Amino acid sequence: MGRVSGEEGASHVHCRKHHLQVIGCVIVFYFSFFVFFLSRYASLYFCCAVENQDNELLTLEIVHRYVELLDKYFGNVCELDIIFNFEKAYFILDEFIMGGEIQETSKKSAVKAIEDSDMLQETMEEYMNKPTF
Amino acid sequence: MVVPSLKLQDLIEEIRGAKTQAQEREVIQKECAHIRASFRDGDPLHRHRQLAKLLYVHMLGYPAHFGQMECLKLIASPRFTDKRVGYLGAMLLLDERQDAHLLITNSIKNDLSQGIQAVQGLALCTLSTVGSAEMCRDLATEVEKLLLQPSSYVRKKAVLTAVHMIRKVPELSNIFLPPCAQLLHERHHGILLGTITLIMELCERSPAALKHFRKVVPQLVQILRTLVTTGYSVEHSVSGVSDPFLQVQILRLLRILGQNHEESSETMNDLLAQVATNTDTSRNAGNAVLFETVLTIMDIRAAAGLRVLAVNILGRFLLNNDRNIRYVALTSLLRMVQSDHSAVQRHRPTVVECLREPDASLSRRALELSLALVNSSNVRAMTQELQSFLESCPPDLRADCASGILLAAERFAPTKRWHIDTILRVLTTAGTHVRDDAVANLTQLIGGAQELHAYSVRRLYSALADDISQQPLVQVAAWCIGEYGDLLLEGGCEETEPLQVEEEKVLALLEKVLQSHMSLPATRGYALTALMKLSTRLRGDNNRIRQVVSIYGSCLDVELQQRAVEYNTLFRKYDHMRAAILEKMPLVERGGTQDEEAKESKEAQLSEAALVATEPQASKLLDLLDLLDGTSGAAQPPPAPEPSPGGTLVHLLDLPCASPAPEFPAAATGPQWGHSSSSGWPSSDPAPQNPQS
Repeated sequence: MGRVSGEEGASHVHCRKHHLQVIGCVIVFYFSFFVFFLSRYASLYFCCAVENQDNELLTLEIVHRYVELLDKYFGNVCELDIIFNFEKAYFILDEFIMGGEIQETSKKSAVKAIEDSDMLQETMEEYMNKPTF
Repeated sequence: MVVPSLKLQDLIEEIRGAKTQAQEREVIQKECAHIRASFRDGDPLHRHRQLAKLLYVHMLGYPAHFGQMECLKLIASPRFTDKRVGYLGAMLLLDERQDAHLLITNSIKNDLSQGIQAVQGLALCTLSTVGSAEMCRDLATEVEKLLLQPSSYVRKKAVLTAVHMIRKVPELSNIFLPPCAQLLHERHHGILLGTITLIMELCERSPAALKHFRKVVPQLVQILRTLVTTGYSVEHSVSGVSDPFLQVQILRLLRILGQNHEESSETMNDLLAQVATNTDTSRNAGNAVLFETVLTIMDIRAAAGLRVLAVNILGRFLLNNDRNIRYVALTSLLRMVQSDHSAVQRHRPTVVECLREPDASLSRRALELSLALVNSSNVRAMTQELQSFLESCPPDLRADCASGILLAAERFAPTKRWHIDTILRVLTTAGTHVRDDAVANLTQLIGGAQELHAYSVRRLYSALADDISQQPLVQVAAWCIGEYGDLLLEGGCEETEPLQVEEEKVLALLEKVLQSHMSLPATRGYALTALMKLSTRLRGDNNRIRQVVSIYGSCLDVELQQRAVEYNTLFRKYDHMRAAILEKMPLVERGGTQDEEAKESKEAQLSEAALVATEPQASKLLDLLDLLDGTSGAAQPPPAPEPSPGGTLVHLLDLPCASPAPEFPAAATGPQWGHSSSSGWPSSDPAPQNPQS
């Protein structure tokens, strides 16, 4: 499985809060060895590439799980959360998928791992200004 | 440097605030210069911030290679913040192709062996994402040690790193195979998932490993059974389905282990049936598991009943509202249609419904599947459906649909008349999209069905009168009218409506085809020859035909011109032979180059005779020339030989003549006959002394 990337579809500056709702999932096209998936959540598009033998319907679940993780971590995630905390989005992804395979199927554990890492970071930085970056 | 460096979020704000592409570039260039400077001599405390900014810029597509060494420095730093960003940078910037790639090996090695979970996790993650074969070899033993770590967090990541290592360096399978047995007893879902993935990799790479792991099939069955029946846990379930990710992975492994192995397949039969029937299908998660189950059933040596169950599940998927589910169902049914034909047949109505899908990829798959489902008992109904699909389908599917219908008609036609009707309808609807041999096939078919000559020619005449733009149709119609023009004018044919056709109208129609700008050169050739044939079929005088033929004698198209000239000569000098030459063609055998030529023109008749003719018969050709030469019976018209299949062409040459007189130049004989060569007809042959009048 390739890396998942999310990009905002609109360029509004104000934050739009929305309930996590899949607006459309599409199995986009077959391209040599890969199948591309596109999932749309409001104005967020998630594109994912999987190999031929991977279960297409499960891939939709995988994308949805990732979005749920983001939601749980950021609390009602919106596009700007992802834009301004892109490195966190990567860290969360790295707790869910590793080397192209799923590593953790428990939402709770995945989010806890990130929070533990954040704590580790914070204790080092407690005397510095937040945000860390 | 007086200005404090921008915070990451400020930079992002600034970039997003840029109104144009140029402005954005400017902001980024300025910032990159800043970053470069700070990499050189900047404050180590804020290095991670600089790299984070650089990574953002990299994500937008700008060059960031100068940050590679910085990644290395950050990874080596003792601070966790640094390591986190450093490793992220390594994963984004330091793939195998970069020179600096190997330099991270040492840092990873150090981080793997020190005790902080989070740090070990980072190192393992980087290793499994960008680890090269070199690196994997170096660090394999470290990772193996981590498989025994007390922390499940680390074990889980170590297993997946092992998967990556095996992909890169298959020889490492030796190291990672032994721990699998122990790991399968884990309760932690993540570790279990990773282990199953690891076993899958091992089995795919080595038949010995595959054999070894068949032993664990019962254990896997047990795990899955527990998961499905009692293993409900809130944190792992998705829409009421217990850990679908783990279920799917187990099913995949079972598929690999059960393939071509009776015993293993039998062990899983019950479980597969259980999963197939008990999974909740109201949400996608359940459908994903169900789909995987179907795929597994398809690939192992499953019991017949189980296979039918799988097909029925796919049939149910076809009725689902979700497009994606219909899509996977159609694709999978296509795979199963050969092996489980009767089971898939039961869902034929649903498949045919799917032809009406607005989505192009769905209707394409539905078309493929429908064509695969046609058999002798449903051919009429299916062809009906496919014909109506052909009328409204998107252009890129037309060709496939048309050729599919024609193929199906050829294989399963119940009657010849139905066959002819079907081809006719396809040619009328999608004439421009049919394959080239459709014309040849249809003429051959019509030619062979003697009882249907009258019917065919009438239908074709009506079709042609309506529309002369569809070239294949026009070609066939022209040929038919030429061959069976007499039947067309005769009147009574019970199978079609009575059609009063006049000679003049027929000739007018063929002329229209000849003159139309829509007609291809080949089509015009057909029309001209048809006109010529009608000169013997119609009862009226041939002035009109002679006129057309002489006009085309100066046509710019060389092929037409040659034909016209030859036909002209036929009228003028060899009129007594005209009837014989233009009589009805015998049925040609299918296949081989002989077909195409035979259907083109009457010269082709003779060329075929030439091809068929072996050496002894070459002398009969000479006989013909002899006759024309006038050495014997100069004024005697040849008797018209009776038509008989196959042998007629030879009879044509079997004309009464004197003994063979091979005094003609070689140029006039054999293979050159009939093709566009200067010596095609005796009229251009220098030898004859007394040409017939």
